[in-house]
Amino acid sequence: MAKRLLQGNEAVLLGAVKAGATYFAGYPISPSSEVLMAASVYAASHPELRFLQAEDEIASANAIIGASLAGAKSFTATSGPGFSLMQEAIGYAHKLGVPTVFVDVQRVGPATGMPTMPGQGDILQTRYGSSGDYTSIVFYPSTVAECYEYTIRAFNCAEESRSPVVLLSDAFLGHLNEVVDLDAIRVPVVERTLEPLASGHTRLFSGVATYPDGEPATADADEFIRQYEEAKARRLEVSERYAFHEYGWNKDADTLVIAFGITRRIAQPLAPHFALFRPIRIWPVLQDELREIAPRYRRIVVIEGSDGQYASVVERVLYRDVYRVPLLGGRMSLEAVREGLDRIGLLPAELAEAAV
Amino acid sequence: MERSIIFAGFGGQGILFAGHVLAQGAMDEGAEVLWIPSYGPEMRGGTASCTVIIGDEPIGSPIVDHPDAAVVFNPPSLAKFGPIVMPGGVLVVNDSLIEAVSGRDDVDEVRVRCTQLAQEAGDDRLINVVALGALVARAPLVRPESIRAALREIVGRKRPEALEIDLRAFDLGLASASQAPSAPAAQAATWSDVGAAR
Repeated sequence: MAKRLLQGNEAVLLGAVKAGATYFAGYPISPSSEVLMAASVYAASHPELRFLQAEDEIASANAIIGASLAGAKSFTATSGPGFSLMQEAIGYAHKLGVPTVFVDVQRVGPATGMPTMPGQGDILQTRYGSSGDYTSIVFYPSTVAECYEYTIRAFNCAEESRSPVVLLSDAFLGHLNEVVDLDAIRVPVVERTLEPLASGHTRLFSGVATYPDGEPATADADEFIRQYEEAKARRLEVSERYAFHEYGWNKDADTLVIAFGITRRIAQPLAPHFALFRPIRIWPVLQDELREIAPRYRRIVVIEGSDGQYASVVERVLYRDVYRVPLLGGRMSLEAVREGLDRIGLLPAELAEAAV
Repeated sequence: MERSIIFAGFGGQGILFAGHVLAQGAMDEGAEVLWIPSYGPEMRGGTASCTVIIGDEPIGSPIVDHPDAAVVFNPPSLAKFGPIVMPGGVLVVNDSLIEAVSGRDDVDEVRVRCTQLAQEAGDDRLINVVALGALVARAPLVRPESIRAALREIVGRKRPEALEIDLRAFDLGLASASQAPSAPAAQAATWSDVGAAR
């Protein structure tokens, strides 16, 4: 197919279709609604994609879990407030080991926040939003072409890890239209391996800790730990094959900028003056890569659309302080990046002069 | 080289459509293009806008602090975007709805009677297409024929009966801005100098 103008949210839908998705459930919320709209339009002429506009996000999340257990590759799309409502179901999907995909197109929170200004405040929610311990796998693309590519990879990773995988986006990225050639993006699709319902076996899908035969194991720490460690090991092992990141710009600079999603794009004019590390796999955190690259730089600056959510993770991984440039209230612009760098004394003179 | 254009006005004035047509025309010429709308509560009466960036390499930042050109359809948009156009850039102003002037002597301010020309074309809602013609006349971003081709593709697919009026509106806008005198100070700074400040 020739090149075309495509929107980030539409690219997510096309990526899901490419990955073999056959079930979508969702509830509209800006700035993710175009995924739902595109899914409904696609489903109208492609009956192999089942579409449900549910009564709310809780129902949507549980519907895609049920659809996955029944044999479908399934997904939903929402934004921060809806993603919060889905957390209970996400914990359930982690407990059961359900391959499915949650798309979170971030806006400024908490609560209803600023509809629809871009934010990146769900970094920690994607990791710790549900109760208990679990191992999240999360990807965050930066271009429309990557929205397509990493949606496919999110589905693949969900199948391999048998867990709910999150694809992060944001209001800018979701609404961005760019020239893409989808045929040039070739990602092999991982097929479903779990047997669907009605395969001749009785199975129990319980949020309660159980033995493999379905009997409650609510007081057996050894069994709980065995199952937990097994699930964790599987997800960590699989995620190793998905350690996507970008390391570039001026690698000889003395300061490393860390930015992801749309923020990496906004920060592009900094390229001559800084090195760049962009995590695409947000979780599990790219610990080995950060520990290898970071020692080459005197300073590290994390530019992100939250008040230091990812910066705090980097500090924990590297055992050192980092500078922070938080872009809050939807002020995600080069001007805001310049101001933030100026405040911490790291604005290059050339960039200060370029400001009109 | 990247060129950035902001279209801004009330929701309903066809802001996103104008950006879409420009983006499509540039893409058909083989350029790298990015098009991003900005709306929210603004859909209900305030200022809606969209940004188009055209380049010969993949576009970096989608967020523009100082566009090379702005097309403004209502007074709040002139107030918001008039002051931030790059020196030497182009400012297309919907004269039918905006009495104020930008006060800039370092941009090419083009006043277009959009509503009147749209009426002349046959549909007074087509102020966006008229303004697009004026923009292309003053800022050589995309060849007029590529815009016509984009209109044929986009309008022709959805509302073929409206295509002829759209093409007429575009040509009227193009002609009006080809004739209009430019602001005296702007003659010193030419479009090719735009962005030199970066």
